[in-house]
Amino acid sequence: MSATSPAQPIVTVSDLRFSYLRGGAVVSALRGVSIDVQPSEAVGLVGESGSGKSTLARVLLGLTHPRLSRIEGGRVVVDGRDVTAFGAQQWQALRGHPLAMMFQDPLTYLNPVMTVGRQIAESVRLHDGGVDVGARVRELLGLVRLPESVAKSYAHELSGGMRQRALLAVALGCRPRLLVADEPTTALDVTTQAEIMALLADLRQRLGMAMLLISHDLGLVASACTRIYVMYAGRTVEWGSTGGVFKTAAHPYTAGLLQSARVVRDAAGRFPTIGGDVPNLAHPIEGCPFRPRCAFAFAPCVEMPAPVAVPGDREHAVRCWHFEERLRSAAEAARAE
Amino acid sequence: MPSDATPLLELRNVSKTFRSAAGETVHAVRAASLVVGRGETVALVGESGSGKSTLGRIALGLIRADAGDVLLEGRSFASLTSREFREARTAMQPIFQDATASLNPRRTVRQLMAQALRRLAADVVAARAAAILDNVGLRPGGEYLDRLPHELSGGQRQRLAIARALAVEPALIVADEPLSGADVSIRGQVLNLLLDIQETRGNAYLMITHDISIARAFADRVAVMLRGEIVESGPVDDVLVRPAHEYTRRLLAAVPELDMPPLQLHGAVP
Repeated sequence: MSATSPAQPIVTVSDLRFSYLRGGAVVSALRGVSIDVQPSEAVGLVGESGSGKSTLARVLLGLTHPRLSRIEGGRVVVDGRDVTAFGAQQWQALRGHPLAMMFQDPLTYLNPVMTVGRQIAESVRLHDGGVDVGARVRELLGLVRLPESVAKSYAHELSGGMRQRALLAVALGCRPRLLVADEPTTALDVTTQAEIMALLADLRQRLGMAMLLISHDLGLVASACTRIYVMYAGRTVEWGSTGGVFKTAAHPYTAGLLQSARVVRDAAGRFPTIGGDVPNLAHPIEGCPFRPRCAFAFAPCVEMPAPVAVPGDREHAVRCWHFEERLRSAAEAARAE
Repeated sequence: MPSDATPLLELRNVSKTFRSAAGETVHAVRAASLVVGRGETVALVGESGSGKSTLGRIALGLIRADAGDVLLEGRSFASLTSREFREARTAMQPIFQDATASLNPRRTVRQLMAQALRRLAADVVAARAAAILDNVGLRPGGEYLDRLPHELSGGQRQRLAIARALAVEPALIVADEPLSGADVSIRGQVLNLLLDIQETRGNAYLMITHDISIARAFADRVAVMLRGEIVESGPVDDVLVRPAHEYTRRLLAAVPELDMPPLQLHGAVP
């Protein structure tokens, strides 16, 4: 893949703001999210529960309820088309191709009374008119490394890993250009997870398919993605190449997450933690949402900073006043010498 | 009297068979032996269906083994009268994976704690409950007494479940996946709390987990289960650094690693 990508992104989200409407309450789940995914790249989206990462997946696939939620601002562009105001029918035309999805619980998305083979065939017929459906179903089962006999099975007869493969075959039947995978292996054992992730890497390479991997597991994202976005309280707070973000965790939240994810005790025998709780998204948040939990919070943090470029990686940026301050003092120190 | 050399809990060649709805026989646990010493932390690691939770329930006396023996402070469960058994069993307390499911949603924190403290006189229950809540970081404990479980955050509910387990001053806490589902930043808080409790009370832990990195950082010894059998066990620094069994190696290899060296290691580096 060339670094200067001439093709247009498959997905561009700019400053997206989105709310759920619960009775009289408005829960602002996304408060300014910007991401893009280029053709055939693997991008990770990392955050804890309540960060808005799964909400973003649902908005990206047009799966939000029109009367129980609304887009408050910003734009979503898929394949060059502005889909921000799309209705249910228009979304239908984008699902499967170019966008496909994979969720944590495949049982919810597989039809319990239809054989796996028929479900794959249905997706082939919808997106591949004129092909030999039977042959294509066998090809897809081969791609996800399931035996052909699985075509006659029902979802409940399969193990968790096999269900996830079956769901993947249904998705691949539509020849997607981007697979949005929301915690695809969270319910699986680690050895099964390793098999599914290896399969995804292989398929992406063979089919040139891009992937947006949404996960709370930094290790998983690090091993599968070349770029990552870190979300906190409905905002993207840091993004860049995986190596860059892991090497220079510029946001105090990213640094805390990385330390916690390593499950290694410090010199005093303690496990690293991030104090406090995630903010309640039903309330307005002024300034940086991490401020109440941040050891470096100071006066400017009452306003949300604009993205600051992090030296050393062209794509790496962070929204943090403290980091900007660190950069400024480093530059002043360099000038003084 | 048990001597100091008598382990707190000993499972000797324990087996358990279940019959599935389809009439098939499932060997959940096969001749498993495990020892937990006083004040020691043992991790029981395995994947789903390995039998680790069944073994944990046998240890707690919640289900009976078909074969083998469970000894608590040297006394076999089988030799106890049912009254003695109930008495002995309180030395071991469980913490389950889903704190929310283990807490009655219609009971206040006060009622939930009173249930665990039922041996105390009614007039001292509230003060004792508040003190334990303080211990687990729900401070000030008195202010939490009239809340319902849904009014607490996920991390707070897990703390409440731990507070209930502590009420009877157990010698052993059997924690079955206490961290799965918890966010990364909460995980450290709960682990530190468990360490604090052990430091002040000297209790032992049997930590049942699928997460080998938690076992490595938290436990003194580890036992690895596969299809009902303990395939390897020993000190964490042996088993998880120089695994002898093929399956342990596979488990270790499957954990996605963060591509940077850990900041610091606790304990001695070989």
